[in-house]
Amino acid sequence: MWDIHEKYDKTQKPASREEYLKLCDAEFRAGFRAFFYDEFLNNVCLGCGDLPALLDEADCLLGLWRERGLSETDHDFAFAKSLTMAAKDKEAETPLKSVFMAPYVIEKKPVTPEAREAVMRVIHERRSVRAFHDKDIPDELLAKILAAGLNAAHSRNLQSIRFILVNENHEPWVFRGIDIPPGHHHIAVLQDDRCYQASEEKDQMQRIMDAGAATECMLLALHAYGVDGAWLTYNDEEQFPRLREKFAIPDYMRIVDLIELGWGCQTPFPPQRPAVEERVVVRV
Amino acid sequence: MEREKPSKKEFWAYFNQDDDFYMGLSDIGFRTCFHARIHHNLEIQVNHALNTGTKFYPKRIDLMYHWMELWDKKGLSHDLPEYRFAEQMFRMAFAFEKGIVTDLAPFAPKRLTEEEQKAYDDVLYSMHETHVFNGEPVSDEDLDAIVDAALWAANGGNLQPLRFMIIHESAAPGLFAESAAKGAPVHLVVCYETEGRHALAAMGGRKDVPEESFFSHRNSPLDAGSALMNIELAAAACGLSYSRQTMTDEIKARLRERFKTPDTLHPLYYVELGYSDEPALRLPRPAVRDTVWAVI
Repeated sequence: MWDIHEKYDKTQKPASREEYLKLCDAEFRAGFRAFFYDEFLNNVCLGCGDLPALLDEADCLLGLWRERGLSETDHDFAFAKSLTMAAKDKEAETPLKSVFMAPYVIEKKPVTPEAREAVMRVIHERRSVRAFHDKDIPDELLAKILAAGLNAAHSRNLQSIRFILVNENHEPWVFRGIDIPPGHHHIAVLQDDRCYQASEEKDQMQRIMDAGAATECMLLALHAYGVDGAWLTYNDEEQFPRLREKFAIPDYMRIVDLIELGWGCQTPFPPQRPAVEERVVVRV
Repeated sequence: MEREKPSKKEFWAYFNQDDDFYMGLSDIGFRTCFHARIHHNLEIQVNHALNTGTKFYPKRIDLMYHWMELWDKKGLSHDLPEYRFAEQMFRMAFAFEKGIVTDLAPFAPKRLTEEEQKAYDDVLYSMHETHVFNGEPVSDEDLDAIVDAALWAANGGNLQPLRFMIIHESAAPGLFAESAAKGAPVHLVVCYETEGRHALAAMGGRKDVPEESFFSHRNSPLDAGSALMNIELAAAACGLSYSRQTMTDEIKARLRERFKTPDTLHPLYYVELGYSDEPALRLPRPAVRDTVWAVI
């Protein structure tokens, strides 16, 4: 069974302090993110919604965080606290212009033609490479590729993405069953399903889209940083039990897809893509 | 080029169906089956052969070449991307049969310099969603560049199931009234087209597959997420602001009614595009070390 087959219904988000307390830490953190990065942030930015009620909920969640003994230096807590203070800041023209949000506001610089060209070139010239030299990618570069994956579009900033990183020479054939020879490195993309269990929308399609965005962002990063790879999904029902056992992956962690990567020893003929005008079905 | 023709029985045995089945498919259904076969039965093998010298299964090229004949029988253009790609794969396969290993070096992409890598990272790490747009219009050139970027996103077997709607707010006011972002001049709707999937399922002998399973399971949401990444990155590279929005049943119904879209076209999400005066907010992300489940 492919790990993404399961589908389940939407449920309501926790409605009370007691319901939040029943959640495990991972689910609580996910609910906390869903509120602060989506519902609260949207309403604060748009200046709509019942702000006093939202502020009460924000204070309640911050209190619950402390009550659970979670770290107050955590990045989610720090952001939530800043946003709550910004929403209460009477001095600021808008909450995002509050001094409390300064650590999160980045300078808007015009994109240079060279930068635009670099991005478009990576998008257009990336391709699947399935043959690699027997040579390690440095750890720093691997970390940069994973960091790119974490920077991808992600619904409600739920932060569900996890990785398993394997050097084929250190653990040969652990990913056997894929339909190409193994890459020099493997990045297995996993997702912590508890992030969605606690969310208002337990939407499996949304979850898998988040994995797709993270994977594409890493594929682009590979190409941008001069290495190569190919995106694969699992086609062998034996792979999941083997990987779960080998890496002690619990049920709540979904195994989604896989990148085979390394220093490419081949530059395949590039894929061909349809024309924009053929695939735009409505333009008004 | 004259090739040995596989018998009807051989073709059926290898590709589950015979010529009549493939001739009966819609154009997009046929193109999808054609490319799926080229990808799985020729592309991977040709590249592997060029790298390792591994010989093909003796009848592989003849069996595969019959697809080119079917393409012509179908009357499809040789300018379409599936044909262009297949033609190159055959060129390399025929040469390999004659002992010529095609030099792939001319296809090598131009890699980014260190300076360009920095410029790439600057765009990547300045990406941010916005909530309020200022109404300034977006050029058609930028919109086309963004859709083009979405088409270049990695997708399962390069089967290209996504379709797009570019809807200016001024042409369809209120159609996206539920959007959580305000004032966007353009709505880019990303849809999943299942006609190709229906053909693939029929080719594999699968019948009565629920319509929803074609776009909500397996590779489909991965393809949609991959395209979203490229849409947002390309928008950022164009200096635009964006906000991805969840598709609601109400908006789907309005789109269907307004544009009389077929039942096989499923809107999945939409991205608000425009310019914004809102401060750019970088949401914190977890550290890599906290997201690595295992390293070996």
